[in-house]
Amino acid sequence: MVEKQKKIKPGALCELCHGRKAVMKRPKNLQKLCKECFYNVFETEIHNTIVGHELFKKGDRVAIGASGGKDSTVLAAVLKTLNERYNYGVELVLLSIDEGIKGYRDDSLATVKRNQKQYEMPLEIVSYKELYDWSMDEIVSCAGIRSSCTYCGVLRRQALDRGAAKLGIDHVVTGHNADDVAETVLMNILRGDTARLESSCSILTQSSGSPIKRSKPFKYTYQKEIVLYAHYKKLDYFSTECSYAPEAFRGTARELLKSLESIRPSCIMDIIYSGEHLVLGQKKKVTQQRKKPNKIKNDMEQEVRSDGSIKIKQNETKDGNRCEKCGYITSNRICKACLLLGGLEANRAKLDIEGNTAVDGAAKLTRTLEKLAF
Amino acid sequence: MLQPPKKKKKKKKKRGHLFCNEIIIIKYSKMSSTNEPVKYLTADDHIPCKRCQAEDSVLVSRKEPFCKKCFLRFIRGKQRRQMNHEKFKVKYNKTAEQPERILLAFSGGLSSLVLLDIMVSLLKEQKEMHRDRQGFELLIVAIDESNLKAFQNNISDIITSLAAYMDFQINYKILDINNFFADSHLLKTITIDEDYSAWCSSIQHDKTYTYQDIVNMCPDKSSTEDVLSIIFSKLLLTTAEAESCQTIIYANSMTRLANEVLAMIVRGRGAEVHQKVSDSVQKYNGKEIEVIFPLRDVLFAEVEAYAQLTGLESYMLQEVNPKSGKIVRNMTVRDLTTGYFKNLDATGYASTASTVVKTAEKLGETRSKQDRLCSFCGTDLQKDPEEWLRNITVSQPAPLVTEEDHNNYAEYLSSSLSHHKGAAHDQRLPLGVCYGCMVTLRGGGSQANSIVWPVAESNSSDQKVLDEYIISDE
Repeated sequence: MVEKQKKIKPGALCELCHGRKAVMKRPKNLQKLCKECFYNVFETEIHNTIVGHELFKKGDRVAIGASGGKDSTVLAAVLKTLNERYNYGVELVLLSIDEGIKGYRDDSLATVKRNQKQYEMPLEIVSYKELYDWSMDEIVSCAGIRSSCTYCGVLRRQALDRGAAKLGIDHVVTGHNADDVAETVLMNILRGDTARLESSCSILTQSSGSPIKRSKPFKYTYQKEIVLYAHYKKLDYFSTECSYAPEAFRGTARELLKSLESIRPSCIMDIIYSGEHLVLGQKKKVTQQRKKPNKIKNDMEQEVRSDGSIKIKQNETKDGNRCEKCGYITSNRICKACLLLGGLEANRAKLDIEGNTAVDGAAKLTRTLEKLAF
Repeated sequence: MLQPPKKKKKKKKKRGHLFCNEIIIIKYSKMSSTNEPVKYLTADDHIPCKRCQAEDSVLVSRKEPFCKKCFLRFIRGKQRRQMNHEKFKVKYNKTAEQPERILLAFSGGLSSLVLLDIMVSLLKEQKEMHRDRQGFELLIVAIDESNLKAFQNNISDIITSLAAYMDFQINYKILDINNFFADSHLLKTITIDEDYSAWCSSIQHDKTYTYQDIVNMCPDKSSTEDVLSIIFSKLLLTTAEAESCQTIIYANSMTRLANEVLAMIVRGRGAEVHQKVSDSVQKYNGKEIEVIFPLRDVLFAEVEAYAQLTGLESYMLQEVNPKSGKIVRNMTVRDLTTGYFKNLDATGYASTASTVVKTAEKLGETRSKQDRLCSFCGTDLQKDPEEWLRNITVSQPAPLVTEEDHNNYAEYLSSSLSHHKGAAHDQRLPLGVCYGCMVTLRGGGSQANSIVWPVAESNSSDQKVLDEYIISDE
């Protein structure tokens, strides 16, 4: 730990403690820091976020959404450290989702299992297959690779909630970092998603209908710093990206964010700050007046969707509405997951070839090819 | 019992028959075809114009073929719709108090050429229809940038040759950017410290500052760009007030506005978006000045088409060495967002620009707004931006452990590096600066930075009373 060099020039010292040699540039503001000061600022910032937003209460049981990737591995490590250092008094549990992507998720789950032993936390794995009777590989072979993220995202959200409910836990923390949040702010603006615009930056999402809340302790933590932290602390994580195509449009936003960060490192924080201050204005009066006469008439009408479900009118939508099929919280009669699965079920092959491996996705193929030797 | 809902919803219902994944597939197939926003036709195409049915179309815009005449009329119509207020129309009663005066912010770029052409065509039409009367007076204001960049042509020549081309008397005024710093007694040094606090101190010497001096104090190119846009809008507002113009019109196209929204969000100015992008009324020295973007419904590709069809392109202000940057490091925030929208146009996501502008129009005032204004840019201050930053950017060191560390620290204290910290700060006063300006003034780094800027004396009415009636404080 201690540098062996005798004399360090004052210019090469850490810019915070001025006592140790600087070994890294901090991605957030390009400060030259020593390892100890980096650990200190990194952990303290997360601690500030947790305390400032009162994320935890003493005696809480908290599930960490663990994928085995760098974000969730660092999250587990940091939360364990902080919990001991600042005495939060929370019990931490690892919760993993097995989407059923051969060659990708099975490897990363192995990482989670190693982490479980290292951090001495209980681990619960919930799989798509047992929950929905569909694995991601099957979904992709049925619906195509283009829409993979749509399915996976919707299903994972529900799976995490169900996993937490199974464990009797009402709080899931996820490893979403500042880059993810900034990207979401940009995406919401680019897609004109006014419904999510205001809440996209909230660190804690909670609705009165759902017993499970989620939070992002890494909201202000740069992805690059998470990588550095994992590197210096020699954490064991799985660093392969999901083999299915990322959403094309999101990709363009991500690329923009990367170039922006390279010319101005603070821009991720700046975008989050902007995002926290985006507020929808009052609707203009003119349009409201024009709509009024129609509205009275509309109260008598009911929209029937193509799938036979009936749309619940805006004023009736309230937190706590339940899906008719599965009982999951939804703003419509049938939740998004059931809707998507219904569509899949209709297209499912009636016959199955025994021992068919064609459904195993690209990742499996890559793994097999990697192991080939001449 | 199950009546179809509103007419509008009928369309939506139709789409509802498709399965979700089908919708997604349609979206992608649209994307893969290179449907540029404006497609030019050649003489061999012989597609009749959909509007007049008489002439061959020259281009396809918004899925509709247009002949030249109908396209120009279509674009002009966009401006008329944005400015269809009664006050811009010809008034016959002579008792009208003040003639409506409009200030057109003219940069010499394509959009401003097109807007000028549209406004002049409107005035000509008014004169023709209403026996030589016009509904408003037009004043062209340009900011001379010739001492910032080298240009092939000069802005006043452009305006005079345009006047000849349009056969119309154009009133214009060219501003020197250094006017902004002319009021030397207002100039103060604004410092943003390492802990994000903002301070203001007076300047001792009587040096006159030029724009170039200020540029040298900016930490990076993106900051310079932001500072420049603040100066421009402030200068135009001042000029509008001095020239008793009630309205300022900007030539920003929809694409440009979308770009501006994105750039503002990236700069941490999200809270200002609703003011800066929608048509608004701004208060300046107690006067209300309306700011309008008449081309907000026109894509930049359509502006280009308009300029090409009318031959206005040839009048454009040309830089000697236009930026040909592909190197990201040399780009600014706006360069990057502009490039982003250009790419989207090429890949068929052209509708994004309109989505972004429409979304920005739906935004409103924040709840954390304070009653104070930012001393640098003049927008509403939000609550404690510096506190927000301090919480998420900790700058406390880890404790020093070994003796060697302590020795190093002692060495550091005795070296010259630690000295600048002890500089006298007693002469300075705290200042309210918004988050966006804080970022602009400091750049992305962790260092403190200072800039010279005209800071208005506190303009609260109480202060004015005190200033007027107190002779001496002792």
